[in-house]
Amino acid sequence: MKMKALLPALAAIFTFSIIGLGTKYLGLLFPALSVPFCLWPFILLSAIESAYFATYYLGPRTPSLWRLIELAVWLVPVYLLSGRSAEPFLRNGFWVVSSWLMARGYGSQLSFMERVADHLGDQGAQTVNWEYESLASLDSDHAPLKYFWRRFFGYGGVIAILAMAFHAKIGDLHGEDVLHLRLLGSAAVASGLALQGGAYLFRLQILWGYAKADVHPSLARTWLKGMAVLLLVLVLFINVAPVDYWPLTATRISTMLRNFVVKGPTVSMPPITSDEKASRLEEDPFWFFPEDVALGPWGFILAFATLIVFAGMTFLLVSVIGLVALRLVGHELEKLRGLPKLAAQVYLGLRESLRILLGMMRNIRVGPRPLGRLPNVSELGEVTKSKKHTESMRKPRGVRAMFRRIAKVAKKKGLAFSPSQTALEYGKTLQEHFPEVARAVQEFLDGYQKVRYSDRELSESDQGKLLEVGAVIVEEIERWKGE
Amino acid sequence: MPQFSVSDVALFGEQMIRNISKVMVGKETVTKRLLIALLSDGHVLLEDVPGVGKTMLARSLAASCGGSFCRIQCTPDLLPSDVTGLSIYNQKQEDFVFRPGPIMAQIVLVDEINRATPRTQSSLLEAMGEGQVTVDGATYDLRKPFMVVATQNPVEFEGTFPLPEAQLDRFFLVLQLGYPTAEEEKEVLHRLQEEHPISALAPVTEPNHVAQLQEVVARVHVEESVRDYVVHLVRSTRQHPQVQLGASPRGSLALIRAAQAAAALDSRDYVVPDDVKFMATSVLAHRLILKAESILRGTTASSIIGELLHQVDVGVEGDL
Repeated sequence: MKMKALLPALAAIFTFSIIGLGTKYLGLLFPALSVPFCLWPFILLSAIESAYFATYYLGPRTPSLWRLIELAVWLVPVYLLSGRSAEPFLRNGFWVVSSWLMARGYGSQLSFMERVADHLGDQGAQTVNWEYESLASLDSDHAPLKYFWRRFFGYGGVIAILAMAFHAKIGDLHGEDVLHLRLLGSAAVASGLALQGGAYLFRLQILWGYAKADVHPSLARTWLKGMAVLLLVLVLFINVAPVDYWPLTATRISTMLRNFVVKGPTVSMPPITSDEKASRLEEDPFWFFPEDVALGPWGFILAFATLIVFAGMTFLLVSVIGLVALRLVGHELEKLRGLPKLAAQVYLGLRESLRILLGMMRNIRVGPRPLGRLPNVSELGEVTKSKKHTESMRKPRGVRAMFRRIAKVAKKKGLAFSPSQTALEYGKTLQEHFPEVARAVQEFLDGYQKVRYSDRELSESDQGKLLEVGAVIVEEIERWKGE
Repeated sequence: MPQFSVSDVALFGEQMIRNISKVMVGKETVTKRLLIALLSDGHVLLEDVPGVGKTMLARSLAASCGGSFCRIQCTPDLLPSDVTGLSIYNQKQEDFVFRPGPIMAQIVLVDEINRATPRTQSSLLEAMGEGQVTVDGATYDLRKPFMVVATQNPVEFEGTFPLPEAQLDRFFLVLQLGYPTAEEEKEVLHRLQEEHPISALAPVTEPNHVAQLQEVVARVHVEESVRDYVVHLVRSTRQHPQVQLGASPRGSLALIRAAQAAAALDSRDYVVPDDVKFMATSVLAHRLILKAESILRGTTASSIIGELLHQVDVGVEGDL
């Protein structure tokens, strides 16, 4: 498994958890800053999009217009759902943009880790690790693994301060808020640590790829399993540990920090009066972001649907631009630059995804291929079997049908035919297990090979004899009770 | 001109194996593979430790065939003109006259080929690939059948020049003889006690007959699924994680030709997948270049071919 595909997802989950914890604590401390539940899918999806885009596509030459379009995809629905009003839009938009930027930072680091390998030059396997490290650390701000650690502790520190401030100012929590905080906290710790560990493995995978090392393919899976178990234990420990054994307890630290937080800058947002809310709803019923509008899950679904529709429309528009651009340059992608090139890549990506999806659907309809064998030649896409051969496979003649019957009956007795076996090899297995019909097996297989591989037909009488011999073999196999 | 069939090929095989067995004890399978190369118009590299009978096998093949035979003993100072021949000035005729080299024979034994310099080794390329030799701008066709049987010692590296991949690929088969069993070794001692049997080896066929049998082999039927199997097998060598460079399309072609010859020697006018399996290691192993780490781990090209033979779908009756 290539860690590059997994790490942006972990980065997005970590971003979402940190932003979620931040908004939750701020909302509890200052109710005017609370974030509506409907905004959460925006925060999560913008983080996912941003992390993957930055990992795979973002580079120094990505056009700024593209970045603006990307931001607009997230902000326009937020603006619409904020009742086209500046104040809630700024409040909600701030968190979406924060999430988008934070995830983008992680994605850029992952992309940077791969780019460093391009500058390695002709290095021997022994020195590649050292050379990579020195190249990655040239600019200390860009050393990716340090970046991950610093942010893990930095964001963790901010959340800890907010938590302590909350405990010092307000006290205990009850109900849904506790559950939300526990879930977000656990997700943040687990995804943050997994991201850090995964980044180490990703770095190793880059170096292995560069040194052309032959690493067992299941290594990444084993690592993931180990990491999952470790994180599960850690999360359980954090949530279930009955004893507060830590010398610096939240209460003690909060006492120390109380004055700092209480005397710190206070955010004073004028609360919206109920009359104001009612009048806004009358003006624009689309305005349902304020936290006390009781839309429940419908608000969430509607917000999500708006986002999907808007993103879909943007995607479609970009794809059409890409199609037109490709047509104009005669499908030569290299001639395009900037936004048209990206649009063309989006269009090509969409087309490829549809092709894969259709292929998968076709495979599902046909049924799964048996495991444990290499794809056959026609599946490799370059050599196709002739029509004659395909037809002969579909309509086996009598002797071939008898061979299949023998294989089917023997399979029931535990002597399955392996796809990598030839008819003669399979025959030898049968001869070993059924010595009474060893000669018959040989005779049948000689005839079968003529039918299967020769360009001449067997006479009717010869075919008849072979079928009789085959019937004897089937009978003997069916009679066999096992060893 | 009489029409020959696969039964004539099988008869030829039996006679040749019986004749060569008078000299080579217990090497019937290797001899059969050598005959397959001869019938497929290919060249063979015998690679094994000293003293197992590489040169003797080549000499007994030449003696049994009855064609012209020449031996080139390779040394670092051997020149290309020593192989191909050269034009010398004839004072009587007052002109340059071409003196053919040993490569002009029908069966050429190139002994210890890796002791010759790459320049001399490459002078063999044209002869092996095209069946012709060009000297001083004039091209001379080689008589059919033409076969190069080269030998090399794989354990001695000092003063040797390993064959480049391009030249290795031109060898149809690479064969190993291996040590004889105790019984076979006893039999060798018994036979060689007085006179070496090779001096009494009489030809059992003539070169023209071999050339005609080569045409019979080329006509052996190859069913579509067998062709697919060969392509799939060769392609899988290119996708194997331990292989840096897989077998070339020349490898697929050689495997089909070898399978045709193997079928004809078994008196069959059609190829079965077992023929492909029988020849796969000898035809393909020397065409693979393994990754450095695989070599260090002790993996061999033959073991990879063996592994692929156990993985690749033969396509006998689809999904059974």
